[in-house]
Amino acid sequence: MAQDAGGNSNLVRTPSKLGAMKTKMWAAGLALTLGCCSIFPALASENPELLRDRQRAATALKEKNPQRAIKVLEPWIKKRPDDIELANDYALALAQMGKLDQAREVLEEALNKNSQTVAAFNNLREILSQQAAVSYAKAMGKKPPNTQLTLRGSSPAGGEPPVILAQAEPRPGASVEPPPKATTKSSAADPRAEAKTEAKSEAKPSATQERSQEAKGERPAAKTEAAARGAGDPKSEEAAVVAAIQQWAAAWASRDFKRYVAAYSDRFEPQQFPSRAAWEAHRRPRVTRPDLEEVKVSDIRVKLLPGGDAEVKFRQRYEAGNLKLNSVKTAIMTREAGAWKILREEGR
Amino acid sequence: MRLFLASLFTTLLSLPPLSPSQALAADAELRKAAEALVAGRLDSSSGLAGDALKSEPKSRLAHWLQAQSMIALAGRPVQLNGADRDLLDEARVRLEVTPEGMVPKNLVVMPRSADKNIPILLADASRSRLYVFVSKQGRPVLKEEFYTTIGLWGADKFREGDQKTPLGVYRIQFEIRDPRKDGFLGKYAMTLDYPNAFDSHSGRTGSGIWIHGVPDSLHVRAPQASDGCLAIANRDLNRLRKLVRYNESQIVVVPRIEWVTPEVWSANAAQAMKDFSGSVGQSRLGGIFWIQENWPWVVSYLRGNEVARREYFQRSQGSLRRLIEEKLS
Repeated sequence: MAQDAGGNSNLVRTPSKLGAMKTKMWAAGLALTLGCCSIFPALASENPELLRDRQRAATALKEKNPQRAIKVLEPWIKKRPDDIELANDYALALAQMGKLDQAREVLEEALNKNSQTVAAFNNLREILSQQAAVSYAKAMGKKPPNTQLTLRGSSPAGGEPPVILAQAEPRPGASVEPPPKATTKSSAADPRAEAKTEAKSEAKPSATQERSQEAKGERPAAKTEAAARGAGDPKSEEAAVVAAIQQWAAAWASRDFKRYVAAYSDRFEPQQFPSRAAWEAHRRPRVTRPDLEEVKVSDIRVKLLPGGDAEVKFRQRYEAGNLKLNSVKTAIMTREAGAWKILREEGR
Repeated sequence: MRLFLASLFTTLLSLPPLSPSQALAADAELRKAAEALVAGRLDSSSGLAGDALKSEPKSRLAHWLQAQSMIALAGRPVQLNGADRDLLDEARVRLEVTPEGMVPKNLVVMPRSADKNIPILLADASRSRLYVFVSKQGRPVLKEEFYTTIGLWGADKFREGDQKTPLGVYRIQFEIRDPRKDGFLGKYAMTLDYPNAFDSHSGRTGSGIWIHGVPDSLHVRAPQASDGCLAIANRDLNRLRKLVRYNESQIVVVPRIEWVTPEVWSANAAQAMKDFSGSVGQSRLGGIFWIQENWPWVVSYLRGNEVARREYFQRSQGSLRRLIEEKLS
């Protein structure tokens, strides 16, 4: 985290403060959490052995012996990576040892793997990021970006296409919906018009084309062109492509092979492999390798191609065991049943 | 959720009592929001920035603090670039708290005006702050505190066009309405009599140093951004106009205020009165002021309530040498 600010060495003093902020944020959160709640395992755990081990871990934490707690919890966390309560106990132990980055990863991973929380967790981040972008634009005296929110509905089947919501044009004096939890205190006097985020959770297979509010008749030409392809406007299409790549990386990062292959088109042509089955057999151990530490994508750039497909370029960071890779990748994406899927990929 | 409520609760407990004015409320809220952000209390900083926006919807810093809080809450890395510099600077100076129960050493002896309501202004260039003091039984009592923009290149003006704010003691002479047609300087400006005799004597050039407002679309400007003037929030300027008395009020601009305890201040004042007694004699004192080390001490004199004369002294180890005498019209 400190490196992010450290890059701007010309901005001495305060940036380093803000850089240190993240660490402090976790420390503050930890102090509050330890102080007020959740150290005792909930009684909901149906497995008596797990319950017993969680209680042992809680005792170890109280005795300031996080190593023992880790030892007790480690086998469980491997068995049940999507158990949020368990992940929380484990994260507390890691945090008590000062391993805040790891603690955060454990929590994020559990939230991402748990089918009940993954959509809400990512939507919360998406909404916060969007609000941050609007506030930042105002801070810089610029017009708030007219970008689309890409929120996902949660469904047991998974793999639903993202629901894209148009961000309402900010109008001074416009009535403002009460914003979601994190900002309840913040915006009564704020002219920023929030997109109506609540009502959109029911995911529909074809919802990508649907937008809750038309972007006020902007770019009619682009619209008709996009309509011919059966798609939304270019901005929201690009956002959907970006989201698809991020989900692909997230599936990989959480070693979820089913979700990983779901990111590929039925027509996907693997290079250097005789068949898709051969490719899957090759990929499976690599995607699910237990020592996988990180898959991150950044600098995602999307180019919508005339035929209706899209070319996406991004930087990929991969870390597993003692292997660290930084690469630039290009993929051709195509629409399938309303969602963007990988048709072809080439690395460099 | 419990975590959120817990931190919200601590925030509510630590909030200062309600300030009498919106302007003061916004300053306090901005400081609290910046403090919360730096401390990593992100729910608080986001909420406090929202409060500041209610008091002062035009504050870019409030939007910025909210943006940074949300970026961090969203788990994204905080990235800063050149465009953030003004707001980082504003946050930095706003994090500087005026010490409570302390008195500025720089106002060595307060004016002996017959009218006790005549304020004296004290600007702290390093903290971008403008204070309004009145004299109560000869002691400085703080009335108002404003955030102020100073020159782009800081303080100690030397040359015309160097975009620096002068250091020293000046009269507030008169008011100009609509100082610039496009509203860039706000609706009013108050003029300072820069250059004074010491400035001219030491070869300093330039003119037209004012206290003015900001464009209507802004709350404030960056801490260092003006051509040498002091630019304050329009709401603050309106408050200041109600207090200032033209040709009677003085402004003391120092690089950094030295805050001392009331006891130390009293001892300094007594020593100064003793040392300067030969020069002051029976004249009505307009104040004795200290700018910084290696800078002449300034003594001003009144005629009625108006500032009529200034003297500049070199003072070291009790020995006193008058450098310049300046008669004012």
